[in-house]
Amino acid sequence: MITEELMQPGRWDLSLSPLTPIAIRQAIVERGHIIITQTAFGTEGIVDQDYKDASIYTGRVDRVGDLGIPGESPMSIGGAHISVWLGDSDGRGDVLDTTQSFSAATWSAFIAAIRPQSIAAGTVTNNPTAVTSDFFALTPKGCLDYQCPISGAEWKVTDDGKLDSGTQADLFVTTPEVLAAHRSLNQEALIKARHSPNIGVSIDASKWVSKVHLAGTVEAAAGGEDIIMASADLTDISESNPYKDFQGNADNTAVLVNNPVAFVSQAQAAAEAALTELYNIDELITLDLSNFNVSADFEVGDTIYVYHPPRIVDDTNQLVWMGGVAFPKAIRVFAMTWPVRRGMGVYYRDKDGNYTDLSPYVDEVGEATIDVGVQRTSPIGSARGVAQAALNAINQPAQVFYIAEKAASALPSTYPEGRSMMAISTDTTWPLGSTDGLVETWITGAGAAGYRGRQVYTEVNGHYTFHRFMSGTDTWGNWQLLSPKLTGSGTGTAYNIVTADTWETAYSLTDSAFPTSSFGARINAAVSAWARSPNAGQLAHRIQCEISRDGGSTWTSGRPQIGTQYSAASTFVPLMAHATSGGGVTGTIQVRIRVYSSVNDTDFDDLQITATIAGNP
Amino acid sequence: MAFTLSIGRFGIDIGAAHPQSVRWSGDQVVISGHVKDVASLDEALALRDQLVNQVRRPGTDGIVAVVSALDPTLDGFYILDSASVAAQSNLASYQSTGFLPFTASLTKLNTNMFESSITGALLSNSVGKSGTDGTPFIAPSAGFSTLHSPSAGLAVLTRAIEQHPHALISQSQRIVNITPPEVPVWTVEPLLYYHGAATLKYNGFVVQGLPTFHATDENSVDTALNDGDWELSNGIIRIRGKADSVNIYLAMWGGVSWESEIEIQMIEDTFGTVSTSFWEHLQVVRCDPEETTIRLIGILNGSTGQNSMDLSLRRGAVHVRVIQTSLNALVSAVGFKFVDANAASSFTYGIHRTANDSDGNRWVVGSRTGLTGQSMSSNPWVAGDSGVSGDTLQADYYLAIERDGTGAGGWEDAEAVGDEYLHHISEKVYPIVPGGALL
Repeated sequence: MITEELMQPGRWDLSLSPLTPIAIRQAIVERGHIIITQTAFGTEGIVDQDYKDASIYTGRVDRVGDLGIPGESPMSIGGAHISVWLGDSDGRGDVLDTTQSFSAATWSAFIAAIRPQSIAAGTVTNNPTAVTSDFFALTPKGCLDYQCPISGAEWKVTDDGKLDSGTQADLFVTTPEVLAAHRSLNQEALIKARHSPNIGVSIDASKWVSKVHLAGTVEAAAGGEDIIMASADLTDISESNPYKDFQGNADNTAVLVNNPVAFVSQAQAAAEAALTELYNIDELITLDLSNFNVSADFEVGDTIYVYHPPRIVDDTNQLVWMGGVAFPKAIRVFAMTWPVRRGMGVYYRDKDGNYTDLSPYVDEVGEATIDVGVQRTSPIGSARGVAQAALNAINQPAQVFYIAEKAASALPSTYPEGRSMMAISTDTTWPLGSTDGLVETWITGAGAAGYRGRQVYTEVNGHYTFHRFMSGTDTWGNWQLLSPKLTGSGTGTAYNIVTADTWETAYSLTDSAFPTSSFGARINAAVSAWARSPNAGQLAHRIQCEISRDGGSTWTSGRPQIGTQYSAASTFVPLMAHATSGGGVTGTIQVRIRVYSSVNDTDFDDLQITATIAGNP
Repeated sequence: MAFTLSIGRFGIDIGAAHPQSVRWSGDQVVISGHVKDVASLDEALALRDQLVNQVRRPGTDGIVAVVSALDPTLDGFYILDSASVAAQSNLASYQSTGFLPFTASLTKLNTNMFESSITGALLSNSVGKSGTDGTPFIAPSAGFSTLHSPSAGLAVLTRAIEQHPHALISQSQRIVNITPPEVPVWTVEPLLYYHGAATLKYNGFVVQGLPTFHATDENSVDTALNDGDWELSNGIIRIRGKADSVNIYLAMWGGVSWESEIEIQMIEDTFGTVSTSFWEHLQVVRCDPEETTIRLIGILNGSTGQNSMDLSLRRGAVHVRVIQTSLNALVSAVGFKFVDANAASSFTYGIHRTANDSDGNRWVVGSRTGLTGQSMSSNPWVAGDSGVSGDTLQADYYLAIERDGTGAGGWEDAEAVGDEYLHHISEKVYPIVPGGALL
């Protein structure tokens, strides 16, 4: 079955007949591609471009299963739509390793800057609003997820591997051309009417919210920046609250979400974009598409009419239909699942562009169905408004925890130390020596300034956790292995975000003491840092971290986080980045951190960085 | 006509189904018998189609009222799960009067109570109507015994209906000002369930299910549907076809006989030129007692473009709803022309005969979209297009007979009927089954 989802990689799975020859089984290698065509046309005389042009679905092969005996057991293959090259839901992808800054950039300029080489340029319009933001350490899909709702844009990857983007109307059918209804004649003059033998509706309102708090940044009155939620409620998006709680009050349900891009001016827009999506309940409509010509009638992202009285009715749409009038709802097709039936073409394309015809070995049965309902594309929404999935998509559960505590009451004037998911030692500090507003530091290994500190190994639930602490005798200068890259004054009220800086991999940490035997599949590392000032007043800093496990050739980024000092108490900013191993970990893990400060560092005299590295076998 | 058994509309107009065995098993009932002793083979074959076309399947719900002269305790509402008719040449199945063994398997619903699920709204229009100008209505079976609806402002309007073959009831009631999402609940006994129903007849026999009909010559080439081949009626208003043309006849039940029958022609340009094509196919689009819709399809002479006319009639309605569609580039307008030497005058929705006809009534045609052309003198005509896309023209009309013409009462005049047409209601009746729905 093929499951296509709007602006998501979706999923596909095929089972090849037990009679599939061994030679064909062996031809299928993971990370190749699969192409589905409306009809099977063999391979004779067909060139690469012909397949691409004819494709109605192109997927990447991620899963290959061939567990039985050839001739007796089927072979299973599966993966995701080719758009997965933009980034998957876990944040894997062609992550931006340099900051991409945009100032009133056209949409096509934005797309051109973030599009990875794995996806070709398609048709891009400039109808979405201009982009003003910085992007860093996000997959291209992460950038799109964030910016599209703000700019009113959407995207799709065509089945010949091109990225199209523009407004919804640029890409998709917005005035429905198809009407699905029970008992419909498949012939009407002015609309493609289609009979759907079954129409089912299910509603899930468990994720409904009336308010969104989004972690963004705002300028503090006395300079610097505060962590604060940009909040959006229903009045901000001109909606009314249709629900009440058990006590008769307006249903007041809020959700706390992250803003993956710390760009002040867009926080409110991002919060409202998030609420606009989360305010809608999930509505799943299942249509039986046996009377549809799926690829010709509509595609995922198009809007269609569905009429199923008394449940699916909209009096404002009036269509002449079956001698009377239908009052259908215009509904966006969010996802579609369809079987690859006998007669369709199925071709495997290897990494060199050689094709293998699998068509004779695929014969799926089952109904094609579509899911329609609410579109979810905001920075918090990776899939149909499921907030948790969205949060997973931006990889920062620790921050969510943190924000959640903060939101539980009014913004506190001080933060208690150690407000964290992780145990933190506070006894190790070192002074800052730089006069620049920006300081940048690394936790380094022995090859650089020498490893200092102590190690703590703790086994928790079978997972190894060990902490490293900086030595109290180190001075800032010892750790300041990169030149400050501040481009502006350090005394401003906003962050000085350096646009052209790069990470210096030469100074990464190699931890030879990393356990080697207990890590089968995955390593997660979390880095936290905090800063402390003895002086009252506003102090803010932004911290970024990256982590790697393979000698520094591939870095996985956490997103920049904001900390604010309100008083003499210390502030803690948790960060998290993940480095994932495919197995065979050899005991090298690298962490690097940099800190941006918004104020003159005479107010900023202590900095502690703690790395916690935990492996999840 | 000896009434013996009816299963739904099987045997309702041709009473010659002889039950030979009835087998009960819980709520399951299997009835077997013969179709025989009818007047003609055509009647026998019509009975066959009535039975098998009612079987539950996608698009039909298979609810039938069963009435038995042999065993009145069998009377009730059922779902027709399956039905079979076996024709065997050596049993004279295809001889002069037919002999067709049948078996019907039914599930008893144990209810006389129904709910009307209604959907609809005031349709967008260019005749200046808005808000509560429309008059939504529903009409249960003629002879229904109770109706519950919390709606305010209900009015019950009564019209005489042509009596049912087993008739007891001579009038039908429509209840106006019931508005979605109201779900009125009403009860009726099985014998009266089809009274006042919107009913299609083909070749004089009641049609059930969603069959399609067409006429062919001896070379199997499609020919025109013949005069009287089809007739759509709810006992109040009746439309039937004219031979070899797209023309139709419209008439109203006057209490004793059909009155004021008027021939109406289809026109195909903005000068009122009468279409010379004819209907070749009749597709039953919907066939429920509460509403029956047919689609007449024809090819305009000398062209490949398709013309069609959808006729939709609700139980209790005093108008018939018409959708005219042309997919033909040669057609520049669709509408109606009345074969009537008398003049017409205009009103909000369209035109009607100026003076009363010999029965004291007036014909009416109206549209929600306004009319692009009209002639009010001899042979009045109107044309209008509500949906236009490329070569496709589509117009949305209602046809009616204004009872008592110039003296029509407040709910019966041309505009009031238009208000009923304009607030479009799609009604679907479901049985209310104790212990959970079987549907």
